[in-house]
Amino acid sequence: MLRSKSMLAERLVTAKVSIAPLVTFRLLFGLLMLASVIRFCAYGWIHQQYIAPRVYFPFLPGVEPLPGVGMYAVFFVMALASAGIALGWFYRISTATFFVLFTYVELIDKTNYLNHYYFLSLIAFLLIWMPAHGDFSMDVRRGARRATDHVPVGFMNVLRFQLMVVYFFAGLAKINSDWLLSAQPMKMWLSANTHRPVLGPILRYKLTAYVFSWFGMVYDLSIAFFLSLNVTRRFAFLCVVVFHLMTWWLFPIGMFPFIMIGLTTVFFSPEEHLKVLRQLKSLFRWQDSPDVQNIRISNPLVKLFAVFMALQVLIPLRFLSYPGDVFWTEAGYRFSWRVMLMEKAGSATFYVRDSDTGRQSMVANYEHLTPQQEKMMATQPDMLVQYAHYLHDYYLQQGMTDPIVTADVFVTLNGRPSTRFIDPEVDLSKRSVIGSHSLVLPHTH
Amino acid sequence: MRLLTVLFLALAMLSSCVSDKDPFGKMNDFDQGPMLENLANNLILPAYLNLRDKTKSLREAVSDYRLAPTIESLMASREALKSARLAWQECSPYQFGPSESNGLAGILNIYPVDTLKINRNIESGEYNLTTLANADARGFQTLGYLLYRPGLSDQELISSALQSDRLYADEVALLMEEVSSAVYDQWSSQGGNYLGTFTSEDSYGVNVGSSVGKLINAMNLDFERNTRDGKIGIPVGIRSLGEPIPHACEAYYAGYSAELFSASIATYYTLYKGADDVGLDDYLQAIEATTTQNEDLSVRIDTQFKALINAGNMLEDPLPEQILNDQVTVQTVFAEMQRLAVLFKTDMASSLGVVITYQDNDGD
Repeated sequence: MLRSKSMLAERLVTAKVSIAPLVTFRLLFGLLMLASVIRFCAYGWIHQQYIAPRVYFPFLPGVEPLPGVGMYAVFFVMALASAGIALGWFYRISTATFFVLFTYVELIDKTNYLNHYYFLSLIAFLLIWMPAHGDFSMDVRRGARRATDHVPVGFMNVLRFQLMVVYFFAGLAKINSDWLLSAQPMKMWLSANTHRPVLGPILRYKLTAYVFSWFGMVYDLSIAFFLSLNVTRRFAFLCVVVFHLMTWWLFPIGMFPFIMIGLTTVFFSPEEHLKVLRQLKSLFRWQDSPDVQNIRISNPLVKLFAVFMALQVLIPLRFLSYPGDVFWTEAGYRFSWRVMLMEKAGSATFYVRDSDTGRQSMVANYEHLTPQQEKMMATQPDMLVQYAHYLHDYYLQQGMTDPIVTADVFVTLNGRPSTRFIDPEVDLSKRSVIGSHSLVLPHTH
Repeated sequence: MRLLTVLFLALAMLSSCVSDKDPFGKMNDFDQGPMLENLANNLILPAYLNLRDKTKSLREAVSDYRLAPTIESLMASREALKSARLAWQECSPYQFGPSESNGLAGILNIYPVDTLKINRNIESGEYNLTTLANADARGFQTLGYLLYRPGLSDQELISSALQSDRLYADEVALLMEEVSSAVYDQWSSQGGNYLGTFTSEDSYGVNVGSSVGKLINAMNLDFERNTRDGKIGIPVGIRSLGEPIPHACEAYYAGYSAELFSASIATYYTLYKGADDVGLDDYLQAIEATTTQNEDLSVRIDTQFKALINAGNMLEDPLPEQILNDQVTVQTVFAEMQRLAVLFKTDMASSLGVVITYQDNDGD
């Protein structure tokens, strides 16, 4: 028993393999992040999301965008750090900087939360601790560190684990009656694409929506497994490419498909990565130095990864500890790999009432929020409460006596008719963000 | 063989759980093409053409009035102003594409206007009407102010002392004509052919950037801000603790606010019905959108429109007076609009799969 345990530890953690998979992972991640940051700037989203809004919905109180050109500076440094990661140039500083800045930006406003941004934060965090700059990097070239040709397999396995978690929980979340038995919201999504060339006519059939829904579920649950097996890997990767290109073609999901296609290559064997790395090296006339540094995976690091992995399993399951339908209340919805899973829309009409005179005004959301903020706020209880707090303070400043803030909120889920979301009599400004999901009325349909 | 039987049984059981009666059939799909063609050719383009013509007549009338200020030319200008305003009501829901890029709504119909600013501009003679700073010193209501100047008789209005008023009015009208004409040209197939873009297959679908996406978003935005809040909500005091602000009415000086309101609602109803052809109601019927009571969403919205039109019939001009004397009636109209706004923004947008966001962004 003890022996097999230590053998398992050796196979999964300490066994030495080529560093090549880490190097290609670093290259791909750095380049994809650089492209993402440039794309983000080019679309004008820095201004739109972090400068133009008057109000923000931070994940943690006090996290705010920098004033002036500060946010542009943040993205500029992020671009530098991405390049640094790709080049392996001041690698630890680059990864740490990227992780801190990227995470900071994501914490500013819940409006902009995307699962794949969270995923990128996690990967950046993991990369800080990995010796991915051990070969074919500026750090080696400039003599800041000696080259490494073999590393413990544990490093790759943590990355593989992270990808497994993303896919597996995304698959688990798809096991619900709307997704599987009604093929919703897939039908809504596909019916909007029936005019597309080539595949459009097929998308017209309900059966297609069922096939897509079920295939998506099976794909998500099993792909990491098939990527892990030698026999099925190539075919599985082909599925990855086709699946993500398909989602890119059908849905507005930005860089995510390319990020997943790029990063799932970490499942390929070290030998295959080595082949690629050798080609890259000859292309750039890279001279291998005979002086090689041995790398171990330290005990504290193993512990850090173990805690990280445990959390990655527990966090997506936390929704089980809340009552009610997670799709409706969104308690435990974020950080759980619920990707492209539901179609939700709402309208929230806020009222502020002077506690002294009892006189009331209706709030013009568009005077305070961006359309995107208004849309996200209208269906998520914690954001409704955050907005109510803001309105309370705003109207207090306008001279109102202890404003009572209530909201008439109607929400529709997966194409069902809209129903009332929260009690319209509750003074939301007196509620706390923590526990705000208990404000949500039961979903009747 | 046994495996096949098991598989078959499993499939059979599964398909019996499936909520669809006919999972092998086609989806309730809807060909957007005819609807977009109908809306563009029979509603939107004619509306912009009419606006171009009416703002042109308006500018001509105001020029005549400047060159020869008589009671007749004053009356003709007022008449032309009203026609142009009615023409605008039919364009207001379509503030996307050329009208958006030209800032048409901001040139034509910002109110209430800043009369101090208008008078300052007239006195100094130094102003640039195209700047944002002058958004509340131009447009229909500025002309309304200058053609009806409260406290002055018609005889006083045409006096030579007010020649600089007429000069200013002429320039305001000229800018309105130019921009309206530019918007029509950009829509027209002989000009920028935005019509072609709007109805092309590349613009089908409901994503951000699709024609239906743009239309539904523009319509929601205009209905909420300009029709619900601008025409009724703000004047009746919905944003000011119930304290009415009569001077915030559209056409406050000219005195036909309620008439413009009816025209606006009628435009929305026509858009919804697609006039006599394919419209949003047909779209909703085709995809079998329903409400909580299992009622057709298209019928529910239709009913709400009728309720709103009925309530709207209780409005009287001059609306500013009615707001002061009979606030409750006006508040009833607002409440009906609010109900319609929720149906638009939540049920209709979601049934169609249109994301209500006026900006491009990633989802996941």
